[in-house]
Amino acid sequence: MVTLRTSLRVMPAFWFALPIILLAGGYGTALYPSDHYGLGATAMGTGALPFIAGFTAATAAWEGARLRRAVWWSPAVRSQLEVAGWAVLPSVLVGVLALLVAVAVLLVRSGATVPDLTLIAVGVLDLVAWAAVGFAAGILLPVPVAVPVGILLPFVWLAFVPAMYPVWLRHLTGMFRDCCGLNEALAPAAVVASVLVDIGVIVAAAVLVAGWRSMRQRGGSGRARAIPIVASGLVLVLTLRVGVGLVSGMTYAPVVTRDQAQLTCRERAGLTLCLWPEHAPEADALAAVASDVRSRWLAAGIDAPAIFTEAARSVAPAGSLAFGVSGTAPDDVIRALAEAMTPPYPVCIDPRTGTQMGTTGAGAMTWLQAWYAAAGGMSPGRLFEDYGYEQGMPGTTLDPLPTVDALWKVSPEARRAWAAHAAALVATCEEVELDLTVRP
Amino acid sequence: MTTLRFDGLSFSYGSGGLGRGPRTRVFEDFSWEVPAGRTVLLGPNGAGKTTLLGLGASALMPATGDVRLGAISSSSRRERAAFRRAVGWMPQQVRPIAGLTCREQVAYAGWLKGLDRRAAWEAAGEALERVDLAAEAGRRTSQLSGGQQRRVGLAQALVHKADVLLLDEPTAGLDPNQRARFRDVLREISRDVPVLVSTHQVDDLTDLFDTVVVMDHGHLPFSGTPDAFMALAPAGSAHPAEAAYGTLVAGD
Repeated sequence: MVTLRTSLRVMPAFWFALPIILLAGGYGTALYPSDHYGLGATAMGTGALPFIAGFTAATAAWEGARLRRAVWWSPAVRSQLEVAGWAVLPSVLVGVLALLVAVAVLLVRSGATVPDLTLIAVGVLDLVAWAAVGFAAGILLPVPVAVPVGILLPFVWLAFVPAMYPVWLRHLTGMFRDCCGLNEALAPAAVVASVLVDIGVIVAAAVLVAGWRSMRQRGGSGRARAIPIVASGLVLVLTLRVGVGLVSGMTYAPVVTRDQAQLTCRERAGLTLCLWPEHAPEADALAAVASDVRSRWLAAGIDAPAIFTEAARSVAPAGSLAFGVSGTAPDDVIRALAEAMTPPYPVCIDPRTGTQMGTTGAGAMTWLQAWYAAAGGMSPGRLFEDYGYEQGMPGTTLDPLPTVDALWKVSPEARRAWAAHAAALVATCEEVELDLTVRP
Repeated sequence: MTTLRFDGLSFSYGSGGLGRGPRTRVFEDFSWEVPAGRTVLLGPNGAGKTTLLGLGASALMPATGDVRLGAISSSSRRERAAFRRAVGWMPQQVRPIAGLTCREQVAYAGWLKGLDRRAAWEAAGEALERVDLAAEAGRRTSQLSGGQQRRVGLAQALVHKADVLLLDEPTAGLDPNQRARFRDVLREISRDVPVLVSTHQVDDLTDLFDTVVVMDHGHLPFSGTPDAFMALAPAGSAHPAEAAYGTLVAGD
């Protein structure tokens, strides 16, 4: 609009700025980002995009509809791009501000200071794309249709597509809330794919609007007006196809293993502890707890590795313990180390359906973790809180803690044998009886 | 004074729906130069008046041919901005921009025509003065009467100080008092620039216009002075303008 005062008075993007920013901030308080990890916190912030993009697209649709009736078809000196750009600028700016607020809240809660600028740039591009879609809807559709389309379309794309199979579809959306633990980095393929799709959406919207206008200026018929629809559809299909090629086969998380060179290792009491830079401020506290846990494990007859590392299990050095921890409270660290000591759940495929299935042996996981936590020195209260009265384990007792008590009463060899048996149960795809009786 | 010239224009509209029907040809190799001064374009519905003004404003683009203002071509991408800057166009329907006041709407039109925001705001105030609407500058356009909205449309055409004005049915739907007022405004604004007005109203032709042009099915069966036009009427006609018009164009 011509003056800022006019814009503030008539543009819904400004009317609804405060609610959407507050909503984004509230969203940031509802999640649990990784400690000090700017990338993880920023990625989590992109989870606010479904409703922020809805706001951006709907308000842009409103502006498109405002111009459509009065001025869009007039012979302006300024380009359509400039006219459209100024019309949707408030929608994009408020959307970006809301995204930044969500990210800022998560950064504060994670204790990180620096956001990931690549992810923010992708988020901004995402909002520009949705503004383009909304504006195009406003130009081409009646306002009672355009605004709901502006609200619903981003929500469907950003909230429903990530819930669909195949799971890698979500990486086309620009929403990366499943990234990243401390030992993970954002997958470049997912970034490139979502940027490509965003650019495709922007180009498709521009082709549609500009083509439609050009056809109208030349007295185009209904059939001729189908040309921009087909052309923009082709742009969309093409970019989606390339994007799919980039992300197909990925898991639900748009991540790759983090560069191991960023790990810093230190030695303490025979233990080598390797931590990510984000945990450098807590290195002393973590090292103290970790070396104490290792000493207790050795004393209990548990074969504890000499290297504890925050590297991902898939790339950790052979014989090392790959763990991930959030917080420095001793019980939190003990729990993280106990979880790291257990084998991963196996990937078991049901031969009848060809899909992944659960296993009966998986029930042994809690028992095994409870033992390692208890042996590592977890406080009795936390032990009971985390592992007491385990529910729903058919074929065995419901409480791992009596088993833990029994393990304290047997020899180290018997404990090792029990742990090896429990680990084997966890790791098998066979249907097994969950017998976790402690034998002397 | 710069003249607006249509050179070998062809233009047709496609049919609606799926576009399976034939195209409606409006102009075929049409050439004409808009005379200096105030020119009125008369013609029945569907004669091509609105299309001609749309082509003259470059709101529509011809299939072949060109519209030139002096040496500036509307068909050339490079020159189109200069062409549009030099032409003021008031479309048949003046639509309020939702939420905007008169001055904001006119200023926005000025901005679209290439003025910077501050200049557009100032020019909007002046344009509203010229169309005698300064008192309503702060009212929303949507709250104005039909006649006032048409004057807002005229202010939009004036705001960027065009070299030629194209006004499409500026008095349509106005009551006699509003029409009289509009004619006063038209006299005032046409002192400096050529004005082409399309209308169905044939009263006051001799008083207001320098040239009368009649259009029918994409052709111009008459172009001359108001006196020459009136001379076409049979002697003793009670309404000579209508009678003259009737000699050129079969009933609508």
